[in-house]
Amino acid sequence: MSFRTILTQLLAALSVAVTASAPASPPQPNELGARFTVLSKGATSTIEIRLSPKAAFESVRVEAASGVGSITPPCAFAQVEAGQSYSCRVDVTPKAGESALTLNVVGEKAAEAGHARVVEVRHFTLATGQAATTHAASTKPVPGLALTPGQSSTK
Amino acid sequence: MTTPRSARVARPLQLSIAAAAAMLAACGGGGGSSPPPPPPTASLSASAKDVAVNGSDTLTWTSTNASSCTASGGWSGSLAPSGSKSVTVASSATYTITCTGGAGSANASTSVTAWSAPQPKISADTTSLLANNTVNLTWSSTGATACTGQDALAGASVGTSGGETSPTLTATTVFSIACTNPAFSAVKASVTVTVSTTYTAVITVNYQVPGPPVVNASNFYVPDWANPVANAVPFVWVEMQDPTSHVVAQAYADANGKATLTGLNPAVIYTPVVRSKMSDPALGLDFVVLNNTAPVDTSQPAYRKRYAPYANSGPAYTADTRNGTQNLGTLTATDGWDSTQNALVDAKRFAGPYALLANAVREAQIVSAAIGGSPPWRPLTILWSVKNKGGLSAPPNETDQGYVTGVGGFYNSGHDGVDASGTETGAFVSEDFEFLSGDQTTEPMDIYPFVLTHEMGHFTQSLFSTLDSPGYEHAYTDYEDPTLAWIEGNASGIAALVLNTADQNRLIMNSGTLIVEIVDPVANTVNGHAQGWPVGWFQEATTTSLMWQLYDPNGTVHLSAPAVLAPMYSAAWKAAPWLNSPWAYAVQLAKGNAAHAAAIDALSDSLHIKATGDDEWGSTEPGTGDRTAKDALAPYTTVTIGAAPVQICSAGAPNEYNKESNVRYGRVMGDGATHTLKVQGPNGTVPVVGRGLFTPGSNVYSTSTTLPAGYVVFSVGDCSVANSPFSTDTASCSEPATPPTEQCWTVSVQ
Repeated sequence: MSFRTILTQLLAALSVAVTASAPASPPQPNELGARFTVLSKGATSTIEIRLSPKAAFESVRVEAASGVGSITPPCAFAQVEAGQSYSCRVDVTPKAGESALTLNVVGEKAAEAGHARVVEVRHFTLATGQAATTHAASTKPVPGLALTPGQSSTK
Repeated sequence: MTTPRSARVARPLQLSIAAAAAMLAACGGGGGSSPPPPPPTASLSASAKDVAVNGSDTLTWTSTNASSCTASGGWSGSLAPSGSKSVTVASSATYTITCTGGAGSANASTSVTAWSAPQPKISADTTSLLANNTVNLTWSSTGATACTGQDALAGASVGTSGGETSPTLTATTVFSIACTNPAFSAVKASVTVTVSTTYTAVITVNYQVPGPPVVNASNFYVPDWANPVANAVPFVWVEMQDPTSHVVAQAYADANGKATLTGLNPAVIYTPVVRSKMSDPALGLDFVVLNNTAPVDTSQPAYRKRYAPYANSGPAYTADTRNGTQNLGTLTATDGWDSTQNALVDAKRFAGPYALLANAVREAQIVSAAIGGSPPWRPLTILWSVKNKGGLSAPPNETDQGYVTGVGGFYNSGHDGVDASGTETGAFVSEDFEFLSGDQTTEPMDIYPFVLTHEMGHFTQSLFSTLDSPGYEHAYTDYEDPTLAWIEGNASGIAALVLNTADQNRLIMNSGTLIVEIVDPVANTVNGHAQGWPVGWFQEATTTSLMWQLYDPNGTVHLSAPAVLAPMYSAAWKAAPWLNSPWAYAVQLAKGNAAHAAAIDALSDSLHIKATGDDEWGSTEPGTGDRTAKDALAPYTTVTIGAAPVQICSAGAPNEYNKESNVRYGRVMGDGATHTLKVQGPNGTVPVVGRGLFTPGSNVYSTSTTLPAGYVVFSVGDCSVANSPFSTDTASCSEPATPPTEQCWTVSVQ
């Protein structure tokens, strides 16, 4: 929490209670009103997805993003209306070696003539509890930078 | 110009004799009358036959049997029968006189050549040579009649143009020619061939990004992968490694991404390596992009020591054995798009860290120019990897694994220390950093620069302005706390000025395809579709819109970027008692731009940020957003020391953190003495001051502190609503019941 005046003026004596400022992040659309609840967590986790949409969507579906090995059953809604509530539950398993998995709730709005389609996505990441694949701690450079022109023409 | 001087001198005399002979022939042999008058003669000479262009010369003439003379050719006018005259010789000319007497006329002429200074040129096919090689020399001259070899060409027969191959050189050598003409002494030209046993490599570093979004066949915006754009990576680190991976030369590139590496052995095959760190001594920039998913020292809680920059190499380079300076060409970090797979290949996404560095530098340059002078930049650490993503619902962040709370992109001036397992749970570390996603199934924030520039905006707020914000997730559809609306909208506004567009390109994954959503906070559209977002002091997009419209080259106000940014970087802003807010910005801007004040007020008012009246406290604001007037207005309630308690009402439910009115602001005119602030709610509530200060389980919070002279601002709200965005944290409130939608607090200062 970072209120300059609070920290430096009114409550200076208590400012030690505040250790870090709040992270400042970019804005996101949030018309899906998606909420995620972990109902059970283990080798297979059960997650409930609830939608309280603020706008209409032609379709909404839950997609596996990174780290997901499987997701069942499919969860999708058609003709989602603003002000209504929608929910589903999915069982997810992580890919081997992934310490987190992510679900995307993807809502597609109906296209208006003359404009590209609009899609809104909300992410939910769950720590899997399994050890991540060890990353190589190396400063050895990774080859792959392209050189132009080629060396033959630099001489 | 090459006519012998003796030939030109003889010419007037010959003409004079010819004229006399002609006159004799015309007279014939008749007699009987008085003898005819003798024919006239004329002669003309110049004191110098060769002069510098625009130099002076003296012409002298004589005549016999003539009563007058007339000048023609390079001069003109009537002349006495004899005399002399100084002339300016602008160009080579023949001067003539015609002298007339009773028996006719006679002519005489003389020529003068005007010479420009000789201009010798000499060049070598290389001026930077490895030892025991030769160079090919070429020389030429203009305006010269003769040249001689000098220095290493001494004694050589060079003519006025020519060339030759030097002997084998083992040391730096100067080759010269000196050229003359009749009017000028020798003019010298030289070329120095630097000879060394090692060579210098010049390398330019670029990064590649896709072109601006285009609409695909499925009617989605997608990055234009087919038409990538390459840009320089300014000030980036470049090194040369020998076959044992030993770094033998290293340097930061210049502002154009060009690095110069010296002392290289031409017999060794080197590999050029680029690392994702930069240094700009002029601005004092020290930015680095670290791969947080590959820690190099897990005992370190601070990012800069725990993680390493990316290191990418180009093809091994076999040196040219002749040139002392060798341009290796341009190393390009490609974006990783594989057109055959029609996919972005993570293993080939080399451009990411360099794109982030380049855009960070660009923003720093623009902000520095707006502030003026040499603003002190702190080091900035950017954590990015292709595994980074957001979506975690509550702390702690797992930076070694690449997943964090929120949307996966944020700035902070510090963080909890990272323990050996990679979890942010340790002691607080002060370290300016940005975490940015690279996971393409969530949001690869390296592809388009909006998120990076937005977060850089927060960095500059922290450095040079104010960063008082409740932070955490926020949306275009929200009615927001005014401090959040300012801080976030301002960060996006800075990004708009840097990117020269208000459009915000955001990448998302849709059924396996990376698509782009183009958010326009001015038109309130996404991909051109109108959105029903709130417009006013309670929405960050409105602040962004205000800033852009103030700057918009096609707009009505059209301020410069420094002018738009000036209020937030001013000393008055940083010292002011009012919190950073859209009202304060609009009013300060109008006060600082008297000529545009009316237009600024009109624009701000039209966006429901009341600026007319010039009150940074927003006291005349009529807009209540999505709250009642009691919950929303006035934005700052005045609490008087020693007076009766006042009522301040907040609103909201759990999970409405950082929304409009979930805290309300009070102000107290301090007097330098110690006083007690007391906030009391109904039984069953827990008041929180400053979003983090409360007594668990108690409906009263009080604190005693010294109130300095001048207004002091504080916030008050319900603990379970305003303490934290994370449900696990609000449990610490020990609040026995869910608070009502509206909560009123009795506030006093005694």
